[in-house]
Amino acid sequence: MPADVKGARDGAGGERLRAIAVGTATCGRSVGALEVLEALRVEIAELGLPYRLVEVGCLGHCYAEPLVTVEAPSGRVNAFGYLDAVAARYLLRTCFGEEEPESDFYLGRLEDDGAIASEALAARNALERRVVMENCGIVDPCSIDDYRRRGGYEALRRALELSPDDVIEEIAQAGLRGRGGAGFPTGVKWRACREADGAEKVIVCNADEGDPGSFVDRVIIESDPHAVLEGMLIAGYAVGAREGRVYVRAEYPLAVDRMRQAIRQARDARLLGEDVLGAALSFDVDVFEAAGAFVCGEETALIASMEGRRGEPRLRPPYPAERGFLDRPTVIDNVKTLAYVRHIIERGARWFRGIGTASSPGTGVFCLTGKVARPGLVEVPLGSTLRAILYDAGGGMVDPNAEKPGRETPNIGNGGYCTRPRAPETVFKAIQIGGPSGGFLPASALDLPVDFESLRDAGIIMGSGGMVVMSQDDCMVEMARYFLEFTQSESCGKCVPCRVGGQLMLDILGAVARGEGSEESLEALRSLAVHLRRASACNLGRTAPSPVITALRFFEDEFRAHVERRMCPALVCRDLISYEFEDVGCTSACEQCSVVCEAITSALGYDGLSGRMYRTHEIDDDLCVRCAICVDSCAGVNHRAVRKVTPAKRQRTKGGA
Amino acid sequence: MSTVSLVVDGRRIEAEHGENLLGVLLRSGSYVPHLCFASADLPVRAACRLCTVGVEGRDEPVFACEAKAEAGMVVDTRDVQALAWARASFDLVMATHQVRCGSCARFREQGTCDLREIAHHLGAPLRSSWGSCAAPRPGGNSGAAPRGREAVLCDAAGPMRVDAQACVRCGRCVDACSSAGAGILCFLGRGSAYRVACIGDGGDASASARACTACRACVDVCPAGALELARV
Repeated sequence: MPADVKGARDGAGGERLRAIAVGTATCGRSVGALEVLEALRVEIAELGLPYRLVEVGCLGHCYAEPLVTVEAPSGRVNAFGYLDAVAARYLLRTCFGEEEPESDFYLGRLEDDGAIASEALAARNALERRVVMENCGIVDPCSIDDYRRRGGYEALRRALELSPDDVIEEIAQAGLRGRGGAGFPTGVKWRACREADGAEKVIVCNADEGDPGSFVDRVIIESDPHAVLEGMLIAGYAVGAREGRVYVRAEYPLAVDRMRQAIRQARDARLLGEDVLGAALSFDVDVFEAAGAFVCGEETALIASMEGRRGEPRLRPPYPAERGFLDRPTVIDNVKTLAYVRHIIERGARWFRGIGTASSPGTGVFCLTGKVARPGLVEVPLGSTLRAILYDAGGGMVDPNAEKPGRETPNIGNGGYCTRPRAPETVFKAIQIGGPSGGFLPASALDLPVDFESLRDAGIIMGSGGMVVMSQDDCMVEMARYFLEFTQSESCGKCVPCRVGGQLMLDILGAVARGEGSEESLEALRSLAVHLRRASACNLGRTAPSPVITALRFFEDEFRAHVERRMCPALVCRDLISYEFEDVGCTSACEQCSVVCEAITSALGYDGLSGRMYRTHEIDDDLCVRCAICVDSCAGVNHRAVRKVTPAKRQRTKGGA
Repeated sequence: MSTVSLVVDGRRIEAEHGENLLGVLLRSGSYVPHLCFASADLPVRAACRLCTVGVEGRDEPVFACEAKAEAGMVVDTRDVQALAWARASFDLVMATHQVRCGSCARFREQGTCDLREIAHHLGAPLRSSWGSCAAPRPGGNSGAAPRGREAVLCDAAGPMRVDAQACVRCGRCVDACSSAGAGILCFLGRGSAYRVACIGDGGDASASARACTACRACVDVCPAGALELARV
């Protein structure tokens, strides 16, 4: 709860205003948080209720957005989720004022570090350790005063009392490793920069976050931008830099705005500029908007783009800490890495080492997406197993039959022919870690501890913390192809293995997905992957084959089904599946499907025994384009009469079977 | 600036400490296949990935353009693994180059080209095992059009034309134009669309066209015979 609001009174000195905080980070906004905010604003004003509205960032429970936290009369804060404008108005009049609300929308009690306490979340709370996420969803990201009331900029004050070398020593002792993916020891990097020749050093915050499916850095900047600034200030003091840049991808407009606003506020508060905190430190920061290239998350390409050159990686050595931006010694740190700095300075290296493992101390913030029950951000000690992250924190696999509060499907008819059959259970198949540079792990790897060494030994990297959860409905060939398509479209194109070899791999995978592959295809993929890994000029090319190689390693049978039997077991690849109606015939007379698709013909039948009319449908496989509109329209009336089968019924007439 | 001694294929070579290893090898007469390395004065591109050599003490081949001369270095330019890596890269390079020597102006004039020299040195076939399927987008494959004077060239890049089915994206023309010419050539696009173009290509290339003096620095330095002046 924003600290300045407790005890606030309205202008007339009357009843104390209690705070309602609405999560308006991008996750909330994308599902209607601003409408909820507006509805609450209007309603509170009309009814004259003793509430004060504030906008906060993301608690990490993105699955429950729009999410609102409400201060009860005792000061206890309750969290409500899955809201919309209607639900918000209703709850405002009913249980927002209660100490222990009873409502489908009530998630639990909000604790001071942002954890939501409830029985359903008990396992998650036992596992989670919110450090970097401590302020997220609680502090007002647009208020430097709120940040300071929660202890912000105290670490900077402490750091300025130490010598720069002592600050570096504390970070080094803590064993903080870069959270951008490489896991390089931050203390070593800072020390190298401090000792490098050159008076004009630079601190760069890498907020390019290009991994599809990863939005941890976005959440941190939108929810707690001052934590990042404080980290940069401490880094600047430690290495002797006067200048900082926050390199944010332009596709994060809210993060760009919030960071710019935080910088302005810090300057006004004399926490940036000349004489920071009255000490002899001068440090200022500017935001640099990236122009849309995944490769520019790579530090030398990032530097090139800041210098106005083509975003291409260059040879290392020299490393940026020695010669970076404009040939000046430059520290480039990920958002998360910088966000840890203030905690380490305040609580000490030994405290940090007490979390996580010996070689990977501290916590990791992971971004769960895909077929998981509770997508969003979780922060756990490094070394936690995948199983714990997925099941305890993430709630396991999503239940396709569960419905969100307030959005239950109306039950038409009672046991009649419009009740919706149960969807099959979602079963874990694979988890993708580390984005397009990472790889897939199967169920047998669920007990793997998530730390830098274990992941490296498993042949993948941690990346920016993205974890995409896949089920039996996901095709590993298509997933590998999807990630390779991404790296190919983002390749800078300079070096031969990545540009030519990567494109060949993508062409081959595409052919496999279309049922045009062969045994040679799999061999070719492996040999090309070997060459990209050993001969590419930068890590984009070196790691681009990882999704393909890990998919081949753990799911070879699935690839073989595609090339040998032209089947897609997951029923995804369009050229290898057909749609058909269930044998029993559809008992609804609704005709929703044949109305929307000309490939569907229907006939009426009559079952003399039961006296029921029924419909039979046929899908012309040659006309069918596998768009699934029949499935959607059937679902719209709570039915599930269409299924997919493999191999496809029709003969493909493209050249080369 | 101290001198160091290296052993290259059994011969003793002197070099400056920290000198670019590929530069040392080439100037001392030890040929190593290369396309994107023009001279030791220019920034290293490290793009063609052909210049692998074996270095004693290293488990894996080293890209000579990425390495620096150090005292006591022992280099083997015929290291088996290094050649295997180079052949694999060359195989990919040739996937982007339509082999039509019979109608190539460079081949007609000189009887050879850099690509043929590299193939010979590596003992590798000229034609890629991948076919020429990796000939670049967006022009697409226009089929087996004859090259040279009668050629249907795919891309116009201002005052010169780049045959996109022959260009191997080595960057020598860009470097040559930059150091000896008007400095109008650059790379545009990314991924498979990475191509040689003149500044302003796709928009207003008139400034580039005016600046070009037809000095032929680019045409002469191209290892693949892919450049031709648009006006004679």
